[in-house]
Amino acid sequence: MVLPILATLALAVMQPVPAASPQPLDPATLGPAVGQTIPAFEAQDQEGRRRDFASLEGPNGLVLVFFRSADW
Amino acid sequence: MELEKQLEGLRRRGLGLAALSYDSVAILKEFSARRKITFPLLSDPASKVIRAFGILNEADYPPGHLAHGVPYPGTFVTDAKGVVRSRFFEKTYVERRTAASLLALAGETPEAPASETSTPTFTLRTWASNDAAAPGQRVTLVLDFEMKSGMHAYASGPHGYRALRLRLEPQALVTIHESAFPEAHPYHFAPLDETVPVFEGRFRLTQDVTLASGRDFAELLKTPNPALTIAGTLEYQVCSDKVCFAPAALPLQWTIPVLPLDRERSPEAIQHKPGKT
Repeated sequence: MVLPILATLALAVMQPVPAASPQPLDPATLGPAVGQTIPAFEAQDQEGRRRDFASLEGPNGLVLVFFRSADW
Repeated sequence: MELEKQLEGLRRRGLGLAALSYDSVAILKEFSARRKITFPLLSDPASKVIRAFGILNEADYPPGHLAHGVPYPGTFVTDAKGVVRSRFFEKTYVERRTAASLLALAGETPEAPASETSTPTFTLRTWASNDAAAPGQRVTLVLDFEMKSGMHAYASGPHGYRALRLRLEPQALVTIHESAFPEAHPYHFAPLDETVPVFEGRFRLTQDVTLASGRDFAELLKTPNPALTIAGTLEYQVCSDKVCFAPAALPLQWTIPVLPLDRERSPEAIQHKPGKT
């Protein structure tokens, strides 16, 4: 099992300080950037239908909103 | 849901709309019925799509937490091929840009301009992207200019004219972001042989503001008809190739009714349970 050890070493090198309070991530740097293509995805809508990008987009594209929860 | 109100504006621009969360189909079905939502709400109970997009928020919500599996809230706007054209993410979860703000930035014009001012050199229509806003929301104040024929306003640059600038009065309940100007054009004034950046014709200046959190609004929300007044001054100088007007300032004001936060949950039987996905 050479790979996991190497991976652990790599992580150890990349994170020399055991961060007690990690820097908050800036969500602006996460996920596909402007100019990149979003990953293919599939999910059920509220009626239980399978939906993907092609079934959701309009002629000029899609506004895809990620929200936290409709429950709380 | 604020998005529902913007559906028509998005359709006019040829954009589809969908909103995804880690909720079950049952929660989304109940929510869309209760809130009369007609666009697709997508269920991602195992956070598979959220992970594929790389926006799972595990830093704040580790496994076992009720909210484990939620994304950093935000919006991607793509073209017809799925290439990201713009994206909107805020630093903290309580802050989110409204869909109406997104439309205002995309050039949408409101049906009823809030306020119109005429000066000798331009007409100004000011409005806010939302006719009401909730704590944490990022909304856009819009200034639509229509310069009179031959007139130009100065953009900031190395020159002695007063550059167009919006100064909002600081206040505790609002974070004021940087104003966004359109691209200025170089204007050559032959008598002085100077070239300066100017704005001409019709153009839009936008100014984002983010409302403070619900806790900060607790007192205000107890008053009847709670509203937020954002006041400021527009500084500018306008000239043509014949006449140059003195530097001027115009007081401006936006009043935005403040909405209470929505605390209503789905029926208990289908609610998220802590530690269960």
